Amino acid sequence: MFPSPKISFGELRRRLRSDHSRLLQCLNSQGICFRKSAYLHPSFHAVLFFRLANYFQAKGYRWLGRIVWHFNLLWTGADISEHADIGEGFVVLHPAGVAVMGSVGINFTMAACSGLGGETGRLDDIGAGPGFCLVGDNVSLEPHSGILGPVTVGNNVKVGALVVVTFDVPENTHIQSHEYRAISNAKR
Amino acid sequence: MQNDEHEKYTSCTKYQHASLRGLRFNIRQDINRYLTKSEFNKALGKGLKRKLSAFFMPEIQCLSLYRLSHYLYINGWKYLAQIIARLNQIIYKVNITPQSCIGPACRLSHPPGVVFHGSAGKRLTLFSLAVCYASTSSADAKIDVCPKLGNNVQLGAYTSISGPITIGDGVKIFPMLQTKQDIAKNKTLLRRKLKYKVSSI
Repeated sequence: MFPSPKISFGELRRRLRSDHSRLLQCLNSQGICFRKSAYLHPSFHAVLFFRLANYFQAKGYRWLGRIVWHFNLLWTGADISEHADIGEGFVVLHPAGVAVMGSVGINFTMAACSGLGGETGRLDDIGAGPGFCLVGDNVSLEPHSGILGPVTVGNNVKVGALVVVTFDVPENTHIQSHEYRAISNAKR
Repeated sequence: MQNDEHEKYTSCTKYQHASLRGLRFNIRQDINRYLTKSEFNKALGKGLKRKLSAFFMPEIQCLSLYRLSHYLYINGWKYLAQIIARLNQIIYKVNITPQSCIGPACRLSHPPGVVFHGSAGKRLTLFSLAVCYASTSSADAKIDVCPKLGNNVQLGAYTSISGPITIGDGVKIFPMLQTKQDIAKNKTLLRRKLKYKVSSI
């Protein structure tokens, strides 16, 4: 929802613990070595700074929220707006180039260069801010994908690489991008 | 078990990655490949000045940091290698994991946003925002489940390749394409014709 709700410090810590445990799950599944913690991992830094920026701006310290957001952009390359409302279990696998603004449920996964945001000319408010999207639980975005404009995306949706969603998506859906054709190098 | 797996994947014997000599050779090859493409550096003439100028370009700097992190990783300095890779990520916003194996004469035309986790042969070309990784469910996967690229592979801008796939030698992938399938050697992947809706404002 927009503006993002005020949360207590205990709730912030609980969400960060959940984010950390989900990131560990991602790192250790088929991982090259077993990790006990990911506190120094840049994926966790991106989420940590977003959570702090969001906490400060919701509390009314808007300048502090803005500074933390800017530091996140410099440190990890992830532009996750402090106004975004994202549930627990948020994982950004490769932070550089990621841009997020909108309202998202729990267990949201983002890969490299994916994003949520507004679309030019569509400024309807469906509850996530003017022109921004409402996204359900357990949604994952593959690289270079995006959800743009005031659209609603259901639970358990997987958006494939290079897909830009500008329409409503029902629950339990997998959207894949266009096909390619392969030709021999000699024919070019 | 985890330690055995770790030792297995640190034994990278390709392209002399485990020796300092190999590290120097690979960086020199990267610089030479960059110099053959750079008109600006040709103007500086030949010799040390030109090579130094190329060495301080961002693409060579981030490739050098990756090569140093890979060298440290396969020589057992795992944590130092991770630190160097993090530094690369913070400064140049390039995410090339230290366990990735890339052959000599690699080219990164625009470093920010590039992600590479896999193995590749000689003369790899990565254009802006090219992504090569295992899957969205695992961030730090073994090299077995990551893409394996042959020699002379070119990934265009905004391309994405993922999964345990093999891409043959001489494959060129055009911009804005994604694949999760094996590709035979000497193929060019083209995008099907796009249909745009054009209307007056």
